[in-house]
Amino acid sequence: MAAAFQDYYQTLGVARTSGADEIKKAFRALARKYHPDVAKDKKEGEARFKEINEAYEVLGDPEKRKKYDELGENWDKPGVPPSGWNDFPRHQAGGDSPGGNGAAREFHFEGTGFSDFFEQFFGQGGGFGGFSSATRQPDDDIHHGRDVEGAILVTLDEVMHGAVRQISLRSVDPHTGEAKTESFKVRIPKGALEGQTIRVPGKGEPGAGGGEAGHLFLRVRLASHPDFRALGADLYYDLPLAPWEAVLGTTVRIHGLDGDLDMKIPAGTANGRRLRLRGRGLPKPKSDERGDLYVVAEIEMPEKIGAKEKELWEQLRRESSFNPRD
Amino acid sequence: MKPSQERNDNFGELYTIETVERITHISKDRILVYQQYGIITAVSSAPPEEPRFDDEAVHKLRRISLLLSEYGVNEKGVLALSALIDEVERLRKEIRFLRG
Repeated sequence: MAAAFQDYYQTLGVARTSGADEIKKAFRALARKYHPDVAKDKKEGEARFKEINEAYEVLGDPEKRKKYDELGENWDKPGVPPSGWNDFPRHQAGGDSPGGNGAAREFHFEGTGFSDFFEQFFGQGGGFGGFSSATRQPDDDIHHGRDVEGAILVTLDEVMHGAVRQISLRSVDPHTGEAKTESFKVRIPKGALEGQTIRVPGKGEPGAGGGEAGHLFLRVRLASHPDFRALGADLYYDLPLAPWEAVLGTTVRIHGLDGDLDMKIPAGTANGRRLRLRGRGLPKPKSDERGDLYVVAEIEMPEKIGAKEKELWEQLRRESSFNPRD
Repeated sequence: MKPSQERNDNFGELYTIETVERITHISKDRILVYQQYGIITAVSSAPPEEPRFDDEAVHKLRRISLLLSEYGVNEKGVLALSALIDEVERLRKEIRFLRG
């Protein structure tokens, strides 16, 4: 739901034909470079970091990428009928439109990141109409405003510390074409979880005839982080290890969300082994506790080896009694 | 209805069933039925006869209203759709985690 069309391929510096791995690699390199904690110019870093996250949010998801490639700047517009639905009206009649004849007011987000799948069915007044009161009002002239739904992209740092974000909501009256932009602040609580709902009261469509305004419902979507993945309040860090580090053990410095920590990797660490650090995850909602950090060993093989290295590997093959197929 | 606020300072607030009834325009009896069917969950029930609900429940209930009143879905359909939506959301979280 970006205000202006963004070329996400350009943002990540990849070709349109790039594969998923290449896109992920490009995202991680850029996200590390422009992370607000390390960027030289903090203000530019923050803006770029958000752009990069938005681009990866689309290009990193095969379904969204396909839509983006097909529809371009309209990829996230609600109410765009699926192909083949030639007679599908763009704005389904919604009985509670204050205009009275069913066409719904459009809402467009700016600054939240991207559209949410269910928004096309339940929110923004496009496509399928909008919310109306579940109980009949004694006075038929009372119309409660529709809810507006969307998603908000939240970084792990914002989850860690909480944040206040500026949201702009532009609404277009389909009868008059009049556009109105309203800006307000949304609080991202510390410990916000993926999929959590944030309700902003009264920021949906206005009511009519004394009816109440609808609400704005935002679904929290955690932005991809170059180093961490979140599952609930737990964090996962995929740690690449050389084979000899896994066999002999080592100590590795990890740049955590709240500071560096030295991680001891025991000798004999198998690929995929998870090492738990209690209480080093994300804050738990409405609690002083934190989740855990799991460091997941990922043993990587050298792509090229020199003659001496090859000799040593050959020697190891001769001398080792280890056979994984036994 | 509270006046519009500059931001969502209500976040984290838990609502009584009376407040939920007012916000969602769904009767208390229906809310309790939906809770019984597991469509919504009370965040706390202390004491047990006074359940408290969060914004997730409010959101679900308002969607139910939409399904019933505008989309013509019957209540059995609402049950099925709610379960499907919850499952989709659960799968989305899992995929987003696995995708990194």
